[in-house]
Amino acid sequence: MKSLICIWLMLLTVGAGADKKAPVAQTWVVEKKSSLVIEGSSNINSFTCDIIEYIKQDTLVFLQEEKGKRVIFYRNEITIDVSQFDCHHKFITSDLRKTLKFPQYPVMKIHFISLDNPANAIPGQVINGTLDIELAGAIRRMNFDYRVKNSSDKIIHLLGSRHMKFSDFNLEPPKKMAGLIRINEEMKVHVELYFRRIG
Amino acid sequence: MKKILIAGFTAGIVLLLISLGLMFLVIKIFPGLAEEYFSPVFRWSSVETDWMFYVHPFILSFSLKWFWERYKDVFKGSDLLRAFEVALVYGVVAMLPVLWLTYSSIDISLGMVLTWLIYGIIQAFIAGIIFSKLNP
Repeated sequence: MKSLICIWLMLLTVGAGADKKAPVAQTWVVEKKSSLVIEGSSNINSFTCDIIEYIKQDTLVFLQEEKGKRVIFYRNEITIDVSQFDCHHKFITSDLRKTLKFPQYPVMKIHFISLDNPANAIPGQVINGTLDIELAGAIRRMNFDYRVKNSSDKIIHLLGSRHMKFSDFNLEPPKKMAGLIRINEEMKVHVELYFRRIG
Repeated sequence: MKKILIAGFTAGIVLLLISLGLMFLVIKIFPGLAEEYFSPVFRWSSVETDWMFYVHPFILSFSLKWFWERYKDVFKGSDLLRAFEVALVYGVVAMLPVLWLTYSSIDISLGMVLTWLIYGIIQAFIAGIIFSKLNP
């Protein structure tokens, strides 16, 4: 009986040790085909500004939370060149860059903070993530809802969108002719993220 | 003097409303043309300069009033005909050479320049009607 209790205690100890084991960091690269699209409008018509190819291929590293429900990023930054925004309309493209204070702030940075664990999600499911967006010298923390398109050990494909305002980043949308011609404050931002696991 | 001020300000207010109306009309009817106002050749809206835009109808109305007082005896016929002649003179003498120069030196479309010419002629026509009614 004594030996049985000893074995039971040993098993418990080993189990407890496994629980406290440091979580394994996962390293993912942001694939080139990731994109960012801004849907905006003026009092004349609507327009779309996009970066359809993400060139930098930054690397992200995250850890799973203890319960595995969320992942926490600790290498979390992706950088986007503001000069790559194309609004398919030369005047609006140039005005958008000016609005985003290019060239004083040539890049927009996205810092991923946390994300519902995509490994637990099935395609079509909506998961939530928190990120900091650094744009034109201002940083804003925002929540994004992402629809999981694909999630496996090797690939994560997420589609996210949310409404934003220029004023979220202390920016003023372009106005011309004493305000009679103007870009509206509201815009909708869509992101398509492809992560590929590399470690 | 009082008559001049009343006529000038009346025409200025009407021209301001007409200007706003015409701008909204351009946005609705010619959105492609209106988008050209996003071109870098046009100033960004700012407190320092926006007031100048809204004052321009009054500058035009008082300039045309001065012209009207000097030459109104030259224009004969009904109020509409006199207003039409004032508008034609203003369009040909004042606007056409300036817009010709503007088109030659600034990167704007011919369509944009033509809307300005039409816009100026309409403004002068409206001012002409007001002056011929108030100070015939």
